[in-house]
Amino acid sequence: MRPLAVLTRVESALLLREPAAVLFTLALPLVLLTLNGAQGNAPDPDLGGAGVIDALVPGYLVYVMATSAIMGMAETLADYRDRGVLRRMRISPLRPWQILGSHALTHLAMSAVGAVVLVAVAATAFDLRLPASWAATSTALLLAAASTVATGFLLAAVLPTVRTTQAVAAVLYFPAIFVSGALFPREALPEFAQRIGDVLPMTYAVRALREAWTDGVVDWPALGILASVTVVATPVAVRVFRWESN
Amino acid sequence: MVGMDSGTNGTAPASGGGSRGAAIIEITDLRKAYGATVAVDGISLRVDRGEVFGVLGPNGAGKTTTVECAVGLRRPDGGTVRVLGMDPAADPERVRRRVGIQLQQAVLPQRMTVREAMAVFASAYRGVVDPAALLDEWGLREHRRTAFGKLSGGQRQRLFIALALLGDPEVVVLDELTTGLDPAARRDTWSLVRGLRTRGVTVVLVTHAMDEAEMLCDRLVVIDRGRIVAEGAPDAVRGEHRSLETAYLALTGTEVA
Repeated sequence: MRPLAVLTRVESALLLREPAAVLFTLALPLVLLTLNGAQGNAPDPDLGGAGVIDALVPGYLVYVMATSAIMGMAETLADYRDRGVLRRMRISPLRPWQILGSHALTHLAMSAVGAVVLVAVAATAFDLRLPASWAATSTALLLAAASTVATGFLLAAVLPTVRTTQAVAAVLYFPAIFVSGALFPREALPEFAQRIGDVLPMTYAVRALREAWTDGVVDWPALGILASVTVVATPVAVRVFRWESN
Repeated sequence: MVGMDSGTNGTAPASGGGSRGAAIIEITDLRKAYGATVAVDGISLRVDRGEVFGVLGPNGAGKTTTVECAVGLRRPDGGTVRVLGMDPAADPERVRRRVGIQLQQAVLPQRMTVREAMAVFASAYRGVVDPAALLDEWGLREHRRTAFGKLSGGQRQRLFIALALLGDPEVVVLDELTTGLDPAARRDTWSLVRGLRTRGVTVVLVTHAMDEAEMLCDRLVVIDRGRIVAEGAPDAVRGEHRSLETAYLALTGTEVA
């Protein structure tokens, strides 16, 4: 276990030395929160009785997780492979699960910090209501985190270089954060955008978390989709992961 | 776990003079192809304890593939490899625990500091050697907070040697250690390799630099197109030629300018 702990500590320190990545992940939801917070958080019948802030914050939490795992982790691993860092680690007695596990833990820690900051600001400054069900919310958070990390690993495994990882992450990720409802409630989106969102796991992460948070409802179908993504993507990623570029 | 030195290879008599004892690395008829490209075509060699052993040859001759098979990064198509009596293909983790390796084109994250790199790799060896002592020994103490990306070429190579020594290995593999270094840094690095030998560490030096091989190696092999074309002490390989370099150019079929 000790190598995993040391690797995670060092990878976390390296991540904090990339201010652009940290700002992009943590600052954007805070800016959006401030812009939307001007309207207050009064119950809105169009949002099923929740306030605007209540409807937005669960989506922002998914945004933080997805940005960290898909943009951050997948790109870091591709960069490490391109430049030979993974090769150097592989010829040491460090185990593959320690190397990859440290990246997962680093980005989960980053997401956790982002989530705590976001919820603390939303609760103190914008009257965010606390989760209607902590159990349902925690379950949705865990599965959302697991499925985004698994997706990040899958991207890092199947894409050959940093360039392709960046390109594909951009093509998948930027539309996804809009049509999934991570940045705006899906109700506000045009019909065709909602249909595109229907096929994205991220949509179900937002849905499960929002329903758990505002209504205390366990959205079993959505949780099932997140669990399936995790269970399918992880072994595929492990199987096809390459430690060297060609 | 410790002191299991009773491998079947251990008592084999050393051929020729200077019998230092057990073979550290023994490779027999190694073969490896990538698709239709044959990288290694029947290489046999033996590295004895305590020597600096050179693996020479032009780029693409099969040097790195040979070394990668020896540390279990690649699985041979044919032949046998024994490192400290172990089969690297069957037990790569155990081999890597006892062999220090610096491979070509390996780098660290740009922003990782020297101290962080030492901590990460030391953790994998269950703390055999004190990282701080190694940093002192290799002149990196004052650079311990420096990011890898800010180190000079010579400092990077010293760091990689220090990393390779963290497990207190009996043998160290150094692949293209001085490629890209300026002449002063190359000479400094050479003295480091001599320092290793003095400590009793066996060194496998992979290089295409003839001057380096001539200065450092006790014995060497010259590889060309996946086969060994010459082997022995540098003097013996040089033979009638003016220098090892001209011998090498003749052996590898390259025109002397």
